[in-house]
Amino acid sequence: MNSLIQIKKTIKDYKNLRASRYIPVRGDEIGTRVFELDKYYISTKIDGHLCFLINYKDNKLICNYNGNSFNRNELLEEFLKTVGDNEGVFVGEIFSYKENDRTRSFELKKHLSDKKSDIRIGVFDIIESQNETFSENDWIIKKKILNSVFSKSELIFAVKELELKSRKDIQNEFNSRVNEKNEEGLIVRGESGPVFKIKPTLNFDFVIMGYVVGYTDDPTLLKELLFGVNLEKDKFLIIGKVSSGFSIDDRKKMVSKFEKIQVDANIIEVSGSKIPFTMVDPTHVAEIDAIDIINSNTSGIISKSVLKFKNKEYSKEKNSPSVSLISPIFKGLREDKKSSIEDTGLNQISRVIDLNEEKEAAALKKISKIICKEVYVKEMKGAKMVKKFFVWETNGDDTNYPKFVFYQIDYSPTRADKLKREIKVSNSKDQIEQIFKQNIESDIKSGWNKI
Amino acid sequence: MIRYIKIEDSNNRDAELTFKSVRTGSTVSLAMENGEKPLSKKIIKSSKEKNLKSLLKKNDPSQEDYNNFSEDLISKDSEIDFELFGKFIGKTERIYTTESFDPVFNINVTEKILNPKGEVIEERKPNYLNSNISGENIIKWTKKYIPKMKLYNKVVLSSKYQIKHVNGLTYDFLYNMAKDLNDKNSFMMVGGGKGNDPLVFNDGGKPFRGFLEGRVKDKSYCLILHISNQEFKGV
Amino acid sequence: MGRKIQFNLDGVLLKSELAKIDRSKLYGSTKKVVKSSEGNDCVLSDLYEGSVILPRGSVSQVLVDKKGNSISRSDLIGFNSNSQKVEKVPSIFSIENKCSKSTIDEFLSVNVKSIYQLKIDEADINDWKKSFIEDDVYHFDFNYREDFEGDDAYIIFNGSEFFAVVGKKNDFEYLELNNIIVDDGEDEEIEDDLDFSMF
Repeated sequence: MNSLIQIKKTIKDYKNLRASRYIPVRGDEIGTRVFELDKYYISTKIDGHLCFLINYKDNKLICNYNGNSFNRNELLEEFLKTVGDNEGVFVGEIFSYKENDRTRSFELKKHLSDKKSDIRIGVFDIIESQNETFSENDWIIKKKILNSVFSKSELIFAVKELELKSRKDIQNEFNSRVNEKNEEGLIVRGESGPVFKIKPTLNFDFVIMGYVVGYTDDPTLLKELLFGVNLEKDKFLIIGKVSSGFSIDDRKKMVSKFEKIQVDANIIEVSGSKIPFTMVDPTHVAEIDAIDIINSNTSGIISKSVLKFKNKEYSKEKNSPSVSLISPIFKGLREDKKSSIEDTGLNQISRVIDLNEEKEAAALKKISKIICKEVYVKEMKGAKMVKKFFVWETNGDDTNYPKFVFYQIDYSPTRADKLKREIKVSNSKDQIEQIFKQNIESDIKSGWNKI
Repeated sequence: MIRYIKIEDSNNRDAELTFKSVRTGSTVSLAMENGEKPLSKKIIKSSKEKNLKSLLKKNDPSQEDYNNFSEDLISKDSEIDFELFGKFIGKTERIYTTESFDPVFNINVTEKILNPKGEVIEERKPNYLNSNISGENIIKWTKKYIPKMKLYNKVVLSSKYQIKHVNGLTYDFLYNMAKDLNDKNSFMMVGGGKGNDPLVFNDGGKPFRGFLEGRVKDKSYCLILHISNQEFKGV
Repeated sequence: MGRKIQFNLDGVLLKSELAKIDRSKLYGSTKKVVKSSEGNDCVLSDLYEGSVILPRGSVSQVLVDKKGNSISRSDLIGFNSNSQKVEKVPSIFSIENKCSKSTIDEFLSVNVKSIYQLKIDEADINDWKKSFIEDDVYHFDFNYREDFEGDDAYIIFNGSEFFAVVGKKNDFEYLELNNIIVDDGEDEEIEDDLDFSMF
């Protein structure tokens, strides 16, 4: 694996495949969800960012899964000094170190650009070392290599593991490290297999913004709630939807409660049952548990709507980076809390995870310009059939628009499918004009007259 | 998400295991002559406002309306949104609308039962089935061994799930089950509920009959749950 | 009258038509009816960015190269997993389909996509039966239309009818004590028409 392109693909694949195969388990599920194995290796989960330490002849860097360097020269020097001739790709968690305090990923973000800050890396996996690749199940071999390579450095070190024999031991360790010392969670590894990510249940207070009915197809029972956080007093960021955790009684009562506070919206948020949420006055607060929270997925950064609430109506302001909850469960209404920055503000999310940076809004689109247009008509039995051919220049940004569009209309008032459309796109003017000519040549036969 | 399943063996002991559908993907991919893979993009081609009935401003246009529309097309370009059509789009959400594409906030769902000729014989409230393979449910060993030679051409075993062990104990459990079935060259019919019910994999899903097949090779095994909802029957 | 397909079952030349078996023609089907609370029929549409409703058929899928220029599907070529070009697999109607004996175990590994009943002339039935004396199963490559990848098809006989079962065979993974494999990912939703009513 020598080229940077190959390396970037490998580390991206690692993030999408292996990193996502950690089995999430709540702290109260250790006894039931962690498989019964002969031996476990546990370590404290570091709350930082996934990083890759790359050492090849022509590529030496410490980067994130997109291949972007963290720009910490002292760490790169330390890595190269430590790893020596050992070529390969190692996987770690880069974090902001504070003595006697737990790690927090948002602090990494703050401190990364401050060259005086103490940033370290806990190395916990190997993708390739000395031309040898490893599978998930090769933990014992990998552990040996990691311990021998990264044993001497304080800045870049092999993550320490404790060997335990039972799930009861894991529970005790979880209680001590997480419940008492407030660490983020535990990583529990089986010798030849699964890796569990054990975290305490995350608990949030969110504003209820909408609801749908239809649980088990019964229109009198609540099916789902839509919830969000306050960005300002009357501005909300959508976070997600929840459909479990309700008793039948909850479902009945909430329908009659929310029916009375329905409001209008000029935007549709869709529920899991493919109908829009009926929006409600953002006055009620729900307590919601989840086993995990993410700010990006394989499709990229998670982005959701920002809604303004004014004159009893929601309107969409824009899309903004947001999060998704894994396995959210409704715990109850919080009558003691209200929709406010203090009770249901963005802090509900940011205390647990960073939000991604907002992308610069695309500039307003200039008006499209028609470059070619031809119209043909054919008359048959008193009805006029029409074919239209267009090419236009979109004048839109690269991300959202092609440069040119070819469009064709085929209308026949007596045909079953009366109005047919065809579309092709290109960034090449030559190509799109060629497509235009070719389509006219193949579709316009005798009997058609050009207008 | 990892999927769990509890299965019982011939001694009525059960264990919690994991399972995953078995599926072989495409072995051939399409690319250009030079090997470059094309990018697939979704673009907007039409919209609710430019739908024919919306352009005619009628829910039930007459033939005369359709005939007259030809003149509109000749003189104007109102059937095209030059700013929207051609735009790349990412994820969209499915939503129920009326036939004139207005969003619907409350729906009533029924189902029509059609006979093999396609004639409606009944309309009723949908029969909602809860999953009987998840949570505390145990898939039962019915003790009905069915030789492979007798079943393979009788029912369509359309989909397969592989059952997997999670530790040494469950390895033994599944290996023994697979060996038993392998040695008898038979399927074991399995069921939900007390053992006679078909299997429902997801809440709101449909029922299927389940048949376990076991294969062993030295110390390794595979235990496959085949599911079926059709016989080999001609029309 | 449908098109006849030529089969070569280990040197024996046979022919038949294929009739697709739709499950609904055996057992019937259910059709979900969704109406609004006002009693209007509902359809499924797409929603874009919370406000743009796109009726079915409003979104087109196009192919472009990395420069954003249009590519026609007919210009594409098939490549296998070793990045080698592959030839098109001919349609079953255009060739003599070579069928080789397979095993029941291989047949049982198939994820079934579709089932066809073989419509055989009365005059040819006995010739067909002669090739299926001992629970024989025959494999051939199936492509309804010429394309770069065919499916696996198996011909079987159940004592009264012949069927061609089309899908993809699987190589099952054998597990050992030390492989504790944890799979992730969603299973496809299994769709069906009617409550099962066999046995």
